[in-house]
Amino acid sequence: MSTLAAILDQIIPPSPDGRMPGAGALGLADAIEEAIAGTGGRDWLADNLAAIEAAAQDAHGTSFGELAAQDAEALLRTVDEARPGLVQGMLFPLYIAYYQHPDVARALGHEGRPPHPQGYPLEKGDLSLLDPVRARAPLYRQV
Amino acid sequence: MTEPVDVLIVGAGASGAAFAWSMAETRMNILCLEQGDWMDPSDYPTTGNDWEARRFGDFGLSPNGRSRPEDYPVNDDDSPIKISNFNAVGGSTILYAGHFPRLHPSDFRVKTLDGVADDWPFTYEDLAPYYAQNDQMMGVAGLAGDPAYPPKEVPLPPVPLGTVGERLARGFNKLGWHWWPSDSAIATEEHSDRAPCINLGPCIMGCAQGAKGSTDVTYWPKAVRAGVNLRTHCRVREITVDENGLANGAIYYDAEGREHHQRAEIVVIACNGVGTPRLLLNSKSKAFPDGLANRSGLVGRNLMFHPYAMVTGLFEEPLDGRMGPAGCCMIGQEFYETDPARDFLRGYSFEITRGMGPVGSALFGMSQGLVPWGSGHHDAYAKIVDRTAGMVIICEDLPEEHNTVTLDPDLVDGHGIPAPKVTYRLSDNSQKMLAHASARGRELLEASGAVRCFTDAPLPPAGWHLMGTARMGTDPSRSVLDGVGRSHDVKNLFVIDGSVFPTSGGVNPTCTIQALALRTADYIKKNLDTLLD
Repeated sequence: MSTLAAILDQIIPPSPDGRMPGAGALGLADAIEEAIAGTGGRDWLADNLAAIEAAAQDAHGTSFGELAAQDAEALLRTVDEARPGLVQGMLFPLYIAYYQHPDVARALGHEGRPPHPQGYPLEKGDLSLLDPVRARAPLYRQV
Repeated sequence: MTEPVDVLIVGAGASGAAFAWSMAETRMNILCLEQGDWMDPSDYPTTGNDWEARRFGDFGLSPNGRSRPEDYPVNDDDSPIKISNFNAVGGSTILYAGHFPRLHPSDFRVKTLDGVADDWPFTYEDLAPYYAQNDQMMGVAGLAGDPAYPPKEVPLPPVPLGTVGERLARGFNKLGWHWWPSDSAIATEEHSDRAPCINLGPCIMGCAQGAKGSTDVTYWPKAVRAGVNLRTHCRVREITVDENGLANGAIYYDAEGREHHQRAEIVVIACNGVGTPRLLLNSKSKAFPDGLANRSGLVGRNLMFHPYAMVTGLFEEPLDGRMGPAGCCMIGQEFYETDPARDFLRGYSFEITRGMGPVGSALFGMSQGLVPWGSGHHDAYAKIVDRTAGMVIICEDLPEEHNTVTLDPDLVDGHGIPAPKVTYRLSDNSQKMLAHASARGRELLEASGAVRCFTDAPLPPAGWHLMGTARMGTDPSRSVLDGVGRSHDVKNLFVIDGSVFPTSGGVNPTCTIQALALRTADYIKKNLDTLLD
């Protein structure tokens, strides 16, 4: 797993019950890299990835991707404190990429497909709830 | 290509379409120039899994962020409310929610009733037949019997309430407040070759089903079949005048950037409350050195938005808010009419807006600090997804001359045409109304069972409704147009978009804009023989 994928897996880790996949394992790293590069953040990302790898080597003598989940999250929080905006700068593209993924949608109990062409059934609702409104005098001003 | 026409319409949006269709029965030579193109519904966002992401890209509301080739930039830095629009056949109806409430009778008598702003030069009753005609053409869903309005028919059954609607309805009832299923330009049944709504959700990113009444699927097919010539990718730079001060056509750029002078006997402008003053102010001549039809000096002045509040509630139990027409569920007008006991004049409407999709839920959770990253992420997210419902609250804006559309001294569009600059301040009345509305919105959500509420007011991207910048009136020194939308200064020049509104009301303006366009067309048809006398 690349450094970026390992970071994404800490930002959105797999859920303890295994129902929700981790963002890194979902294969979103390329999309996130492209999104950040598209807003002029290629160098910013490369610099931060290098900093995280250096911190992992310093603290644990291994690469970030090899760390146990608990150590990886703690280290990412430490580096994020030292480099404000590191994680925040990834959240917007990551949340979009993660939560539009069909596997994630299905894990949420959604359909995991585009809305069109099947659409969705929706209850018409109980229009007898309007009875007290119907009983009111006109609300509009007479002119 | 540029042979003279009888009627030239600039803009193929809500009003241009209605006007063109109505005029087509005259068999006159009618041409509409539109800077955008026909849309392809098979490319609308809901056809892909990335449907929520595209509202930050090619289906965004702001022309500045969207930057399609058809868009023109708008300098809205000096306004807390930013411009939202769309440029295509259908105009902003491509992205509108389809919410279709009429103005109230009192909205036409603001000066008489409340002592502020101006009366309209006609009444609700004068416009009612055109509202009804437009409701049929646009395929309006709703329910007759709303006590907030004079009696009216509604062609199609209402959009579904769903669990969100039912929950909010119980909240309204608990408080004893008015609510009603929204009048919506959404075909809830097959209507005039349109497929019925299948509850896709985000109507504001185009309707891939074709159920929403955008004018590319309502008026335009009928108008084109009846002989109206609709020419796309044509951006008008200015309206030209002859030696007698009459409009005689328009200079425009075609798809290849070539300049043309299209001559016409009658010119009709339908470019919205920002595009229309921009075009008029760009149309300078010896007879009109300050811009066409601007002897009053009021072209571009009195810009009105509808200041919006958005109130979102978080609920403990799952709701179905990601499904169904997002902007049209129900309307509440308990606080619509002026109440002397309140500290502001005029009023507002609650518009229940259902909930969010999975991406929207995550971004909402992020922005509100509700969803952390890391090991607590999934538990926190699970408390938000499918558990939001809320509303936008649409407040009446009153006209003020210092709120303006002018020409930006530096900014130009892709053809080098000076772009509009918007200067706008929220009035004291609007701020008080927003505060009242936000508090009542929270009260409603709490009565409906919300455990937390979140308010955003004024809602920055809510510059959807652009009104007042070429206002109608009876006094040529106090208005740009007469009571049928004809320029006081140029008798063969008409304006038919939201620019013409003397006041804004507290509801979405599209059905009123279209009813006015039909009324103007009716006037022209009935007075063709003497129109230019």
